Amino acid sequence: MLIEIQNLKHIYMCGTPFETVALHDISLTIAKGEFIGIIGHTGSGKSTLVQHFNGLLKPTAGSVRIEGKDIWKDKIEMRQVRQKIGLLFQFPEQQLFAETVAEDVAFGPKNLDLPAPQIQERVREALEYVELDYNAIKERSPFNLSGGEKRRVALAGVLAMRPQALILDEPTAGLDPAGRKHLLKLIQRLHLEAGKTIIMVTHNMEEVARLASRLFILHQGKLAMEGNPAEIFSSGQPLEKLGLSLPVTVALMQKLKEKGKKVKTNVFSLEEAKQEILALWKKEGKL
Amino acid sequence: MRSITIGHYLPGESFLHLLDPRIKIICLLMLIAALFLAKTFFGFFILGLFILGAFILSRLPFPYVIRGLKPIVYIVLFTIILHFFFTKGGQVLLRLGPVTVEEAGVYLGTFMTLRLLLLVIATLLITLTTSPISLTDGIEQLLRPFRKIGVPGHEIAMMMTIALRFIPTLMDESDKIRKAQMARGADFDSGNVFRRAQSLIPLLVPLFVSAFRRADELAVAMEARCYRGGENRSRMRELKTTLLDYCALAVVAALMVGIVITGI
Repeated sequence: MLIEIQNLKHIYMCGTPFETVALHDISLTIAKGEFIGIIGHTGSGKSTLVQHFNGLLKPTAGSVRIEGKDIWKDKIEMRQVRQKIGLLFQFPEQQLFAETVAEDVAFGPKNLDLPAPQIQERVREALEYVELDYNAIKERSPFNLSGGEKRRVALAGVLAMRPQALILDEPTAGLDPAGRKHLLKLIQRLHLEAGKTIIMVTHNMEEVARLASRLFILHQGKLAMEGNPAEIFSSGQPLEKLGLSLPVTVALMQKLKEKGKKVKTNVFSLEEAKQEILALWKKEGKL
Repeated sequence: MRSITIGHYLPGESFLHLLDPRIKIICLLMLIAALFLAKTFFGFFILGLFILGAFILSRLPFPYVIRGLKPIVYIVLFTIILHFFFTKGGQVLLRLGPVTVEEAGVYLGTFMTLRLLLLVIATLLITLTTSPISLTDGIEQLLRPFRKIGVPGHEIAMMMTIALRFIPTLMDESDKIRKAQMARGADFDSGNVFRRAQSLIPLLVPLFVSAFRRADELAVAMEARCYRGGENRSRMRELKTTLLDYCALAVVAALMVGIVITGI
């Protein structure tokens, strides 16, 4: 198991009148190579939870194990944990600081004390991975790039650490539809081609339904549901109680089914939905 | 989370919470004056009793006030050491080779320390029981008479409000950026002073960038709502002084005058 969380509890500002329980008794495991979606309403504890995966937050109670080792009890270097599990925060373009793009992406590898040629190699590789032209962009200031480019540079900054797993906190928030599509494609490629474990935090149902192999649903700091997208979205009703909605394609198919049409409901992409409806029309002789 | 700042306001319903902020500020100023005018330990004893009474009335948790004293620990130590070793006069109490601790030094050192401690506790009692908004409201109103000589009271208060309003935001932001850089292997807590100072660059640059961006956005938002400074501006919550406020004012004023007249 890559990540094992057991009975995790997190209380913010413990011991003050401002104390709030953010996470309550959460246990979960994530295996190598999975594509996990973590969904939940605003304030459900998603971001707090993922910050435990690479030791940025210390649990108030419970344990966090990375590859079998308890990162707070066993003696291991936190830097190694953070190299293994990369984390891209929400609006990561806000963390850019260096004078040039290349320098900014090199920040991570430099912190790993790698020799200069290796750092340069990683910077090139990471920038090319996010489909930016290394030679054209390396000397530019990160503050003069477009929003989508900035975000990809920030992603490259994490990829340059060569993590096994990548946590993405709302990676598409605030991007235009084209930038969103592009970024999702990149993430999918990182999963399929580079074999990285992806943990994506989002409240966009469409994105995770299509990409993730397993979903965790958080509600008020508790793990409310767990399973693959088909299981989660076919249960229908409970989701709305958790302040979440179905992906539009699933909602459409369920409406059709309610009207007595014979369609399958676990349809997660527009293309599949189109095929399903065309097939239905053919069967009914409308085409 | 480190978003609790020193002297952070604790909401409550106590007598001290309910006083008009203007009265609280005037009382604090008088109390500070009294602390500087007191000449004897007996004077401090009286003032200390009064501040203790105010603390009991405020119903604040004791650890909070103690925690608020932490930042001045070094100043207090510095004061004590300086006076003990360098103020000369009277009997020699202790001799360590060429260094002597003399009576006047001990006397002045203790005196100054007490003054400093009472000063900070009195101020803490005000900031802990007054929300930043009403504190700046109070300051604005108190500065109003000075507008004729060109003191921009409203603007000063507005700047303070905005600054206070953005402290938690910037704290959260710095926390987030710090974590983001830590996720890329940054280490803010080890190495010598120079290394540490250098390691702050990846934290400070993004923080400044976002602070400027926020300032711009806020300016636009204020202009969009036709903000033009203090002229003819009415307010949602008018400050009201009650009989209780005047009583508090009278008590503190009497205390100060008493200290001056008796010369204790």
